[in-house]
Amino acid sequence: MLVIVGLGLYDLRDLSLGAFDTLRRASKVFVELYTSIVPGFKLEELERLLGRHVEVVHRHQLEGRWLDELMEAARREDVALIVPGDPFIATTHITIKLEAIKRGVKVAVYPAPSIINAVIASTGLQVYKFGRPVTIVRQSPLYSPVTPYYVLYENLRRGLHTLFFLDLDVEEGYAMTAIEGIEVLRCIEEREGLGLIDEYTPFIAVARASSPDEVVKVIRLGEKADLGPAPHTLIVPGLLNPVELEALCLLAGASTDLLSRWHKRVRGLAASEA
Amino acid sequence: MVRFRQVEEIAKLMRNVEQVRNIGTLAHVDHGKTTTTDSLLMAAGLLSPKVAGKALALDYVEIEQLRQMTVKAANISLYHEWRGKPYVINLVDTPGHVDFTGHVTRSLRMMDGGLVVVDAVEGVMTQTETVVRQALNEYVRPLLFINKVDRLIRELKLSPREIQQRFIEIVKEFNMLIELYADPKYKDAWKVDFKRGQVAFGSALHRWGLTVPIAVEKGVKFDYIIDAYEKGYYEELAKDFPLHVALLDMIVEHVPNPKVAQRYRVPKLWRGDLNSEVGRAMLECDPEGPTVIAVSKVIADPHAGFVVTGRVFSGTVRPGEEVWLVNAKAESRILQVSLYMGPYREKIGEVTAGNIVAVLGPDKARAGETIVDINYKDVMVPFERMAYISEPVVTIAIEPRRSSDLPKLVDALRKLAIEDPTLKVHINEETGEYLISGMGTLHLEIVLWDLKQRTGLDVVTSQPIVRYRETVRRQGEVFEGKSPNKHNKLYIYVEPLNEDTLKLLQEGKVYADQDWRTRAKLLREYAGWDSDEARGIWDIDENFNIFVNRTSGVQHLREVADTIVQGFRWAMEAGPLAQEPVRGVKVVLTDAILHEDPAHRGPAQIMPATKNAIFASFLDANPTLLEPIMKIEVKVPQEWLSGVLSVLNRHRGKVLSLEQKGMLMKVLGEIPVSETFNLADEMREATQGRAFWATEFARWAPVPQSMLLDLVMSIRKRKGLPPRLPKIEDFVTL
Ligand SMILES: Nc1nc2c(ncn2[C@@H]2O[C@H](COP(=O)(O)OP(=O)(O)O)[C@@H](O)[C@H]2O)c(=O)[nH]1
Repeated sequence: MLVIVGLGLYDLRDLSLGAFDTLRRASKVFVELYTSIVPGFKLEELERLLGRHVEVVHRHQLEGRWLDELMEAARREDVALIVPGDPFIATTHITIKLEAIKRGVKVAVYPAPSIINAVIASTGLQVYKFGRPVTIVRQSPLYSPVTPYYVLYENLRRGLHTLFFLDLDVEEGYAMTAIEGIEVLRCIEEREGLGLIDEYTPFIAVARASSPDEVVKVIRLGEKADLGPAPHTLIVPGLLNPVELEALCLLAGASTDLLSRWHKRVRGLAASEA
Repeated sequence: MVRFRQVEEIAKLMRNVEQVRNIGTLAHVDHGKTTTTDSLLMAAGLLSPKVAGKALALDYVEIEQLRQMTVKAANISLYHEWRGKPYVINLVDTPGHVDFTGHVTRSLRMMDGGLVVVDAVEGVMTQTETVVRQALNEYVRPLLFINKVDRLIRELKLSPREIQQRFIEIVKEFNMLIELYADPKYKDAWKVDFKRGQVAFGSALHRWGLTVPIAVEKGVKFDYIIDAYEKGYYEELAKDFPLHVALLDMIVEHVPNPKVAQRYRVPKLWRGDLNSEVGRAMLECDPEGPTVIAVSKVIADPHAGFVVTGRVFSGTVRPGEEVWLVNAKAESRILQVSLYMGPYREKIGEVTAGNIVAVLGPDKARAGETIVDINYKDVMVPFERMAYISEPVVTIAIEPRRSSDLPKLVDALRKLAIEDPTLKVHINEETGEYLISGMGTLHLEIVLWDLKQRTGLDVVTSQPIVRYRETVRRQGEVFEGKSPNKHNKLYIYVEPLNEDTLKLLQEGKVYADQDWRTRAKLLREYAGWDSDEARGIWDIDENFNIFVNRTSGVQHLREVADTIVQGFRWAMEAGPLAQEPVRGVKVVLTDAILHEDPAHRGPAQIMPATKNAIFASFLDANPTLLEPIMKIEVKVPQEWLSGVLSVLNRHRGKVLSLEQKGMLMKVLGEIPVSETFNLADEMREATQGRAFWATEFARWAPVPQSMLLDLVMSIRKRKGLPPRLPKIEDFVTL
């Protein structure tokens, strides 16, 4: 059997008891650490708790021929793969599960907290009002996608909030900060020019969601803000109801002035749509 | 009788474009191009007193067998008076060997007329045909000089009648080439006529020459010439009938001046809009127009930096001018302007439209560059694109005998590669070896010789390695290429490009950053492309592969187009058989499925998906290796012919024609480059050194099927690749 286990957001205590139990009994345990940063995670601690060796696997393995080995092992015995956050939210690991099913290998899944439920708790924005999430990707001469900008546009036209994942390349030691993410959106704004991003656009930055030193802060373009180390996420709100408005003021230090001004702008966008 | 002129005087003359001619000498190897050029230089070269004593001929490269072959184009300005008026004749030298076609085209662009030197004994030969054809392609008017007439008299002992007969035959053959290759508009106007002084004859060795009008004027008959040789006073001939006078008279009278020539040449050599300001200025050869220089060569001078030589098509070049390099996409400034006085340069205040100039400053310019006044930066269309310069066929590894000399060697190689864009210098990342690749074994020999001349370094070189190409012979099935995360899928097939398309690519008529409408039209009309397909071209690489998008309505496709193209280039750089470059393949994208989020469809996902699909279809499309084939021409006395034939036979050579030329047999054939490495020794042995031979790159051809597998395996082994043929399954994950 292949057991896919979510590691959660901050440290080992995000593992469910059920997951922990299964990991102890599995004959092999692998962990991938490239899809997200788990700030409090220590491999030695996990090995100590489980009382066994845990092998770190890399992207080129999970996305390459090594997967065959994993499947073959899972056919014979219980093999666990630990994944940061929730194993299937904002990753492409669903293909691993499907591959196993196609090969007749049983699969068990232990979900875990993901950034999506964490930011809901951190910001008070309501789940019913989120639009499509999207990743802001580093711009390079070869690849400079404008999709995040247009996703924001589509969401705003329907009055919805936009959650931005920020580009990450753990194996290369790169993690985009909230400030960089805003800068990328500003660059795209310059090219595409729909007038979404300026100094009156509120960005809700969440740093190290659900960890003890979590920071939640509304910032504006050009503003300097010390958010501490990665991982960061960004949200641009859509229309806000009074509870959300109050939450942002209390939890993220937003100014009502900025938010109500923005609210009006979004209403304008949404109206032009209708 | 060297005339010394002050540069200022010459500059004045150059400003009057009616008194300027731009010409070059062209010939089959050994017919006397160097000797002829030499006598022009000695008699009429504008050498300043400072350098007169050190006058050098144009040849700086001598190689044992093809001695006196002019490899690097050098230029000189000549002075001549005709009917009481002074003229400047800019003599553009051309490469003597046809190996480097880029060089030839570029130096032809500099000139409006070509002096074609033909050996009176041998007559019109293959390379005569090649150079005349190339000249006519570039709208350069060819004139004829029948050289080595002394041989007709002394060796063949022909009578005046027979000599005349011989001349008539050569002129007939020459005019046939013009009939065959000239634009219909000039077919008649450009045929040469003895009576009108469009043919000169003489002996470059003995420095005399005549045209019919000069002979008539001086009242000289052929009997006199024959007598001079028989009685041994032929040295007088050079005084009575100096060669340079006959040749330069002919040139001044029958080569159009730059202003006349540019009116019909610019529309043919340049693809921009003729009604634009730049277009009109070039048509008019206007010294007041925007500066435009077409660069023919760049030389790294140890003292001056890079010396950039080219023809000024419009404007006036002065020091301090800000210019734009169209191909390099770089700004630059002209620091110094000079003229060629033999192999030396003389500083000058300005050079006007229609002349040849040497400038310092634009260090990023390379042969083939177009330099333009900075104000025309955004509108200038270049004379040529840099993409098509060469397809190297042979590589050798090179290292200095003393490792402390490495920096010196690397520096010299870098400079050589700048001067000769057909030469590629690269480092093997794994071994740290320096590799140089060129157009043939001979090309590399010349490079090594040149390197030694310049640096005196002692180098060690490896056995030459042939560069193969990979290609396909039929259309492959559509294959699905999955990204590593398996969320992106590209559907691709490959097929061979047809001959017509390859021709358009090689001639530079179809290229990557071309206006797509023009390109689609050309491909439709001349290469049988379907309109939709021609419009869907996303990329064309240096090895003549084309990527076509035939999908419709695929979401997010635009966003990943660049990464798909990058994946295509990656696949084309090193094909699936043996990681040799791919050539002549059309890659067609028929459909694509892309992940919703940009993070999961980045280059690391899309590039492998592209490559996998291409390779799978490639392996399905009857792939093979192409090998470079050389054209070989051998001249050998009859009794040694069988030796030559058996050498060719042993090396997979093919004989295309056999012809008797006087005492010699001329063999024309083809031989794969891989078989040429010991040819010199074997030829010498088989003919006791009596064979004269030369090779030039001819074409790429599939290797014989019986050799394919072994060859693929041996290349894989050399490169340290797994010793088995790749299979389709290696590139499609299930
Ligand atoms: N007899 C004779 N030999 C000549 C004449 N012109 C050139 N040659 C010889 O022909 C050979 C080739 O001449 P060269 O100028 O090097 O030819 P290129 O290869 O066309 O540059 C040399 O040995 C010359 O001395 C000529 O007018 N008469």
